[in-house]
Amino acid sequence: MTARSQTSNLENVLARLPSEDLPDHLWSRILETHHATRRLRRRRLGVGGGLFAVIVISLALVFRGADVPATDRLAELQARGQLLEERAINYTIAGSGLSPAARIELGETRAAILNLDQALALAYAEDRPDAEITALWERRVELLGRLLATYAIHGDGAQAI
Amino acid sequence: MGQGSITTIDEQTIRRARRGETEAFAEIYAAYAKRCFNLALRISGNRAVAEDVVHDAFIKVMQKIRTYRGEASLWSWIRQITANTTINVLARRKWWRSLDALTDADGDWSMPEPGSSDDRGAAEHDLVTLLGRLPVQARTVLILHDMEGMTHKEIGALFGQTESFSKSVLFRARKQLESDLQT
Repeated sequence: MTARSQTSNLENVLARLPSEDLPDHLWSRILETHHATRRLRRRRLGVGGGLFAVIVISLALVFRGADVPATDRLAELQARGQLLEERAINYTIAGSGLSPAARIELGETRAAILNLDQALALAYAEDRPDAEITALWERRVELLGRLLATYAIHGDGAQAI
Repeated sequence: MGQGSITTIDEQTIRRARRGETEAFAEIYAAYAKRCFNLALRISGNRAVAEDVVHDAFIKVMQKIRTYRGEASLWSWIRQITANTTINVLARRKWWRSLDALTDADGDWSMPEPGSSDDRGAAEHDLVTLLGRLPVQARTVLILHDMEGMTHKEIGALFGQTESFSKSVLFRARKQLESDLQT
């Protein structure tokens, strides 16, 4: 038997290997594991969300100190986010000066930022592509901008320190 | 749940899976799980291992579906995950040996032979038996290349190696089979 016919023969045999059925319980086992993993991840995110914000701010400070090139879009967004966040933190709002509508708007924006922080934490944990992470950071900067705008427009007596 | 039918998964189902819809994953599972199972079974020759592979591979599929960009077919993407998972599961079970150990079989390969001796030549039966005697690493390369049609580049990448690595393992595996057949 030549090498060529041997190989061909082998391929034929491989193609004829019997095909076996899966056990019926396997899909439910997979679903159970999947749901358990998601529950665990949500719990971890809940605990880690606050810590993540602190880490992100710290990293942004480190990156700024390390003079990251301006062309690095992600680093630029992180630095911008950091700046806006500092401004938001430093805003003092006279509570009585805010209309109910403004309070609702601020609450919604803050909630959206928290959700985004969780999405970012998940993206980093899953080692998602830079493009996806950059898009999340863009959205975060946009929301921080909206937060500041709400303070500026509705915050009667609000001032930047 | 039905298994094994070679169904094409449409873009809409993939989009639903990306949104995390369990029903969409169930459709993907119904379309491809049996092929994954048989791929793992042919490499490992062990049903329990093959079940573990399908379990782990589909968990990964559910977690990573958002990273699937449609550059290759969904089956190619799932096959890649399955092959990679098989290698990892076998490594965990310490079935993996050095490539130099080409004369020793690893694990517990017990794949049934195809068909009956009435319609198969003796050489074919010999090949199946000898396939089971191959080290699992060589058998993996052989099956992925000759049966699944994966390229040497893809196989090399699975092992964190170059395509030359895959060519070399395949060459040695075939050489061993030929040699065993002649003895």
